[in-house]
Amino acid sequence: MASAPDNVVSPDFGDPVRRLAAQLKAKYSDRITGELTVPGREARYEPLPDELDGRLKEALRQRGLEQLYSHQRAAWDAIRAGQHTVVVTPTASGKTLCYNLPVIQDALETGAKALYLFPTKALSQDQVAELVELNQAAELGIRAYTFDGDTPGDARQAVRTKGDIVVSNPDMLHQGVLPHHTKWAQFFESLRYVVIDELHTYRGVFGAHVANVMRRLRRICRFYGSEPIFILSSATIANPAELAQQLAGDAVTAITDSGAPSGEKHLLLWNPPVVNADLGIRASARSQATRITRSAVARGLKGIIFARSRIMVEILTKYLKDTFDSDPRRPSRVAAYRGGYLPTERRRTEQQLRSGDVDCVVATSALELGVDIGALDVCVLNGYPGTIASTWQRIGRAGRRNRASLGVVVASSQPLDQYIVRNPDFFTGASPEHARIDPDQLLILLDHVRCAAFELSFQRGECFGGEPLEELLEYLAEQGVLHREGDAWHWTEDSYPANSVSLRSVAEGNFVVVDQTEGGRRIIAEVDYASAPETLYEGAIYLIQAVPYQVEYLDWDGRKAYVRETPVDYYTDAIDYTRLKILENFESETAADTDTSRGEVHLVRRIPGYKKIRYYSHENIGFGKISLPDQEMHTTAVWWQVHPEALAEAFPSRQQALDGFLGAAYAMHHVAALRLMAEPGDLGRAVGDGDAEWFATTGPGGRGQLRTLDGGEADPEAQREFRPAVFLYDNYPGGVGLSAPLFDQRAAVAADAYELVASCGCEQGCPSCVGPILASEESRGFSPRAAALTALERFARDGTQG
Amino acid sequence: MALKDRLNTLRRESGVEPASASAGDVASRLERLRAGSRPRSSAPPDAKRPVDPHALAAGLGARVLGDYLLCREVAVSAAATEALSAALTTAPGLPERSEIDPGSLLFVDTETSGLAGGTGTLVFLVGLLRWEAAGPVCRQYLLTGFGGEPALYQSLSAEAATASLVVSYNGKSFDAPLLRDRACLNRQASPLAALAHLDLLAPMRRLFATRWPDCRLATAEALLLGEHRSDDLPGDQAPLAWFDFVHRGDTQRLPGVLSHNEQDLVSLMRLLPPLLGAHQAPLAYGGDVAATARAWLRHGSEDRARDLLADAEACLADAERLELARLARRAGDRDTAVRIWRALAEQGNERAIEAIAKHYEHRLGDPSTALAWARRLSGLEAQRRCRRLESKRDGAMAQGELGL
Repeated sequence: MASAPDNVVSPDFGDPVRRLAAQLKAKYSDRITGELTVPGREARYEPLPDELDGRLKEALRQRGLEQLYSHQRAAWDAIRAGQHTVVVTPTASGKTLCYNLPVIQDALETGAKALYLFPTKALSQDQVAELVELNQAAELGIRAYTFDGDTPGDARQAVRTKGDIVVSNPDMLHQGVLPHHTKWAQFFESLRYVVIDELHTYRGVFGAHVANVMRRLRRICRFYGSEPIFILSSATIANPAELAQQLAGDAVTAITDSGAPSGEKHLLLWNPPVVNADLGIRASARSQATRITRSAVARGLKGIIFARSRIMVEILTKYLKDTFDSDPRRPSRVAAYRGGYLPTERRRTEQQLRSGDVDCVVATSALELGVDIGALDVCVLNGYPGTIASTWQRIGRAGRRNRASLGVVVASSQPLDQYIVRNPDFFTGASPEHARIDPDQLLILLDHVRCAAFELSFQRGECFGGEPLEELLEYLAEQGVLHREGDAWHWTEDSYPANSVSLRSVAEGNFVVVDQTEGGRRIIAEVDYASAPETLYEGAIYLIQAVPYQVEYLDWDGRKAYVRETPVDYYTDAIDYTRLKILENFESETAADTDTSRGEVHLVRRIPGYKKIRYYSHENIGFGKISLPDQEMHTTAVWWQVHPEALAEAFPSRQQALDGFLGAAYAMHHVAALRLMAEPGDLGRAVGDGDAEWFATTGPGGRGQLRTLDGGEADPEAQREFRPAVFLYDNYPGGVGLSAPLFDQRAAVAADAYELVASCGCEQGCPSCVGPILASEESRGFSPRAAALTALERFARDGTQG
Repeated sequence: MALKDRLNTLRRESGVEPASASAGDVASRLERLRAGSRPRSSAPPDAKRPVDPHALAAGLGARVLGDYLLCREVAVSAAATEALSAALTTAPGLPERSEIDPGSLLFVDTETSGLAGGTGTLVFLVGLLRWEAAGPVCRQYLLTGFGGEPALYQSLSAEAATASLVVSYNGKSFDAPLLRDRACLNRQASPLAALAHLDLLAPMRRLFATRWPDCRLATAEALLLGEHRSDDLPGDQAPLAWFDFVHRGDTQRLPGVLSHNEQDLVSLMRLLPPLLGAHQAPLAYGGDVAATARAWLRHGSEDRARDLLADAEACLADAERLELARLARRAGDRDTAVRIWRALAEQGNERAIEAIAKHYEHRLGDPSTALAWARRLSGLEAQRRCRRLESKRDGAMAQGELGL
């Protein structure tokens, strides 16, 4: 095979991406802490399989395909040999053909059916569009339908009986298909392939649920005498075959060597410059990301910026629009893309990206998945996404086959970001994370045993999951959910269990944002329940495509926020008070000076008010009050305390102890996330007394404040007892099993945190170690960094002794 | 049991349980857990008493048909069948079923373990009512355990083999799919699949949906038969009665379920004569004439639809009168049609005016009068019509002049 000219990357500095990379490196060498160049790769081809149906060959030819990439051919061979197969190759490497070819071939040959599962509806629609196109190109007569919540009732019968390929999502399979499997009898009898795309998204709690849905699916298939082959595809993670195996329930062949061509990739790790050495404050990642993107777009390159929060997407969009979209008569060059926008708006932006009408898109992780947005040149990450896998996935959105691409990871001041840019080898040398799931987490398993029993009675000797099934069945029988008769357990409840089991989270109903500008009542966005309190309070500025809408009235029970477009020069930021009460102590370790414990806590989160923050200057220009119901959660936590005598001895004042604990909590939170291979948002942190009598926050002056239940400020010296604790809690209702490994690693977490703070280059403490330090040493009278070290030293010392 | 302890700990961790709850036995803690969330379907199976199937059968007036399956057979008063035979001589059918042969009917009603649907919903009682040589008979198949399902579906298939039309109330969307699903789960043939199915809910709704507060069976009994059940078991109690039996051997409420089911079946049969009659003369039963006429029309009985509308002309709405006019014209009764159009046209009904204009233009060849009517219409279509009529009229006048 001769190397096609489009694969050769000559060292041509005329390439605009290369030129940009070189200039950034020359001009900002002090900000670039690490770099990596991944050389371009030539395409490796294999011939089309001889046995491939003539009509399929013709359909491929019409799309200009005369041969396959090597991984596509490898997938074909494995799947045709009847092996479960996972394909792990980069974005835009032709993954869909890996499963479409064998599926369609078998549908043409034997009438075999296939079930495609995508994590989101948008991806399902993309997929069906592609299948329809392929199908029409050669009049294959293959019928592919989506089956999800939007499928009208009168169309469902046709999907069930006529569909060769049914495209759905795990939630629909769980609630709409499996509990009604007899309606799908024909489909299941001929089901030969289950395709699971975006495998890497099935991790954590969601992954554990989906693995159990797959157990149910395989059980139903066995009932109908079919044994489908699983075909999975994934972005790069450390353990694709292991994860695939957990979903397929059997050994899976992994195909990881991509034959698709790729252009050279430049990766820069970027640390914003220090702007205030005293306070250890660096320029914001936001300002740096905006600057890098501006210079890329100004050179005519297409770019994407990933931000970690929805609000940051809107702020970055505004700043870029101020530069590039100042003339309202011209079409927009900058677009925002995030969850919460209506599907039609997202489809429009995707279309504009594909056609090249938009030069730059600012997005959350919503664009991390395989939505087709065409080819881009530059990808800027505003902050480290939290995992190596996710970083590569996002950077992979930029890159054309015959041109260089550039990715820049701009570190924020958060400790995890700082750790990554200061230790570039950690990032460039390490393998991506493992996607871990625990399908045998008892509560999740129990939920799905209930669902499975509803679908088909359990027979003695059956297997389902890694726990003793009969004990689970007897447990349910004792509750009257099941009834044992002879060697079988039957469903005996008047209910539909799948409806009470959500695969994703506690779904309490989304909020809709209703625009009443000009007297209308237009729904312009949706906000999930969990983030509603911090985004939709009355007075909040809610941004859509950087246009500010003010929330005028929030109907909490009706799940509606009424907004009006309002020209303002500020955005709003909610103040978050979290307090904890210890309900039960599962285990404790008492050492010389400290106690470390794990147990159940009741957490109450209150959003008492918000700050108004002016654009560009970021100064605080006012406060507002919020009256919303408290958010409550039961979860598990690990907490660290210092014995009262040791505490009094270590800290000259309670104020210092409070600041020390707050600083220690900040460092420990981030270190713990890294240790647990979790994202920082999976854990929460708090400092309080454990009786919910008081909790501590960092006040506007940068000093620790002790607050009582109603949020009022209290004097730490006036407390009768003073037993502060650092809490790190599992940030999911009910917990997802993070606290037990955290307790096991309690010593390492304290030691790592001590190390992080002790080795930080700052003077008094900074956002990279103990959190932002606003008050100067003079006004405070002591170093918060030293105070945090005092606390951490005791936690770490006792940990190593214990 | 280690697993149980772990589960209880986990449940506590996940916040299912209120914070105040602490130790206590599993059952009572689970009771507390569920108190606020969802009602228990049945009491816990703590006091299960073994039930002797023969004793149970004797108590219910049934016989043991196999493991976990009883059959209760009762003769039904012949009065109902006589009424049905009589009704069928004057009104042989319904729009969806033009001829009904009483000997081939299989009335079906089931009791289930719930209304949630899905494969986990069990049909534990199937009641059938049919004509036999000795007269009408009601046979009820009662599961006393899940193991009886295969035998149940075999019995049902045998029953179905000698019938040709299933009659039910809401059975097309509820009972029949459930029977099909449970048969499939037991790898049995779907028992009713080969039979035609007459679901009386549809004709009932057609007649009375706009007249009654609802069309439940009990409402139909009250308003068509003038009967109110006094000691009947509420329908939603049937699942509980069965769960009580399965979990605890408590048979107390089973007789109530059987008699409820039997009454439903008898009512089905007794409702058929008034339903047949009301399709011939809806007004006499307080039914919806227009909807009934539409149903006859949809099923190809145009004459009957026209007769129904004509009989009730005085109390028809404008749209229904226009429909009558349309049917009359199609049947060649132009006088009736024109009478209706004219009456409505004088009240300004646009469709009637258009029909009158067309009548004058095409039928009577009188473009001037047609034009006079057409000018009362608005819209583009009407303007075109007027222009066409003007030229026709001018042409006719010119021809007239030439003829002079």
